[in-house]
Amino acid sequence: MKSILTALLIFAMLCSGCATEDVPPEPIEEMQVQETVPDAKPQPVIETTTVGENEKEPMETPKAQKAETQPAKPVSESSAPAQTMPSYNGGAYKTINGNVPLFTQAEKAQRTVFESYSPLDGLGRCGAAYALLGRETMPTQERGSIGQVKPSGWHTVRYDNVDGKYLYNRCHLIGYQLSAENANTKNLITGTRYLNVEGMLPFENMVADYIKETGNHVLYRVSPVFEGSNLLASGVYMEAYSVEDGGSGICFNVYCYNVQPGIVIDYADGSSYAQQAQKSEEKKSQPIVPVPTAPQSSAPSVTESAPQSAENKVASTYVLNLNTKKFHYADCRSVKQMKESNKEYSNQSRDEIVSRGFSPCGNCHP
Amino acid sequence: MIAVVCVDNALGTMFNGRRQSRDRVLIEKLMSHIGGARIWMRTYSAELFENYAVTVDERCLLCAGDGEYCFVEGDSLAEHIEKIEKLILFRWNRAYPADRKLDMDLNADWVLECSENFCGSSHPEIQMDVYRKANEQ
Repeated sequence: MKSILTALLIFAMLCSGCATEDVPPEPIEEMQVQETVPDAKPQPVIETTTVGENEKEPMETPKAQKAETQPAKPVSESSAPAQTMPSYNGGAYKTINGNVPLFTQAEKAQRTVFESYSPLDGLGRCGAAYALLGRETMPTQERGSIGQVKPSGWHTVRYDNVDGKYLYNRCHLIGYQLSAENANTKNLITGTRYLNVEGMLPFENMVADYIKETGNHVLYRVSPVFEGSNLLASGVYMEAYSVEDGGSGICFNVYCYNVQPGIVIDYADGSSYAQQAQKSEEKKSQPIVPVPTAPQSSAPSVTESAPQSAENKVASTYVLNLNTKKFHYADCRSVKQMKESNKEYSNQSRDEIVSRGFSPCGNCHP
Repeated sequence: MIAVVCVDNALGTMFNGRRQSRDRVLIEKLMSHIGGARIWMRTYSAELFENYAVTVDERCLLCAGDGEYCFVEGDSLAEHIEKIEKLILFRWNRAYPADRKLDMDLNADWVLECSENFCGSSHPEIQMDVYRKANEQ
């Protein structure tokens, strides 16, 4: 009986248009057909729970108790080639393919929740994370610790002009509020604070609210993009589509940039430095990244706290060694030998640094 | 006309032709606030008001009269600024993606008459701000 109902449902989905008359016209049905790549790699473990079409389950069952009732599915890889990434133009994200996600009709006909995380590759990097999200996949308890995870490209580094100070966050591909995934190494990448908060979080919020309010389900895929052998992702593609209402509630396809205003990042290994500490002659030889300007949002901007005065620009050339308690000019040869985790790029004056117990380097005499 | 709009932290209202968020407690709050007054809206918005008597018209901003409410999702208010007596702004207190924003300057010619916070069904705190035109009592 269930299979008959499922077949009827799929048929109805294929016959009906995605957009209702209530919503502005959307080219939802004219999307590109996305190929689901048969995965030669090890199959990810998938948790599944079958739900009825109109079932609205309260968030009572802890996620860990979900029954595994369906066979594992391959991760549907939609990561576009890195060279097709949209160039950075100052916003935290950019719309892709007219905001139409690349899910196939068959994928959009699914009604059984699942989560699928790609295995890490040979460089320890995450692949696409893919799920049909619903109330069943959402957390019922506070998030646990994820501090023990060190995703590829990870550095613990602080800057005064970064919101929350830390440049990098352990960034969930499928956010905890949607998946209840804690320290799943296949779901955590090294992401800038800007990517996490300005780029991805607003989309996660929108999807989470929709699921909570409607009880409907959202097909959701986040695909990190690593260029070449880089350990740090350049950004992530985010796709989402609400299945019960044919995308009229949720439908987007965006690329979020893994950048941080005011910070220059080397995506090969995740090393970084403050933009102000860069000397003009060094700029020519730095291979790195677009340095974003302030976002066009009226929300609190991470660049608002960036030092602007001439005094601060001069002071920001100091690099502090948190291990030896010495401080250096940015171009001191000792800086190149320092571990990134011991570095602090300071915007303080020389006197302030000395008052913190740091002594000047004997080589560069700052 | 009293316009009613929901906005995020950056005064965004819509993304990709869709509302940023919804909350059934907000709807209850709004309908309680307006009492028995008439409220206009587009068909797209009517799905949020299933259990209430509302007036649906795609030209709702043109149709709503003095003292009547108009629930607005995505439409420009700047084009109708002259006929807006009051503005009720529901602030989600969250960040969402947006490609449409409230196109009114709340610092110019508008006075915050009252503000109230309440707990939504899926939002821990929603702020309801009521603005009136500065030159009207």
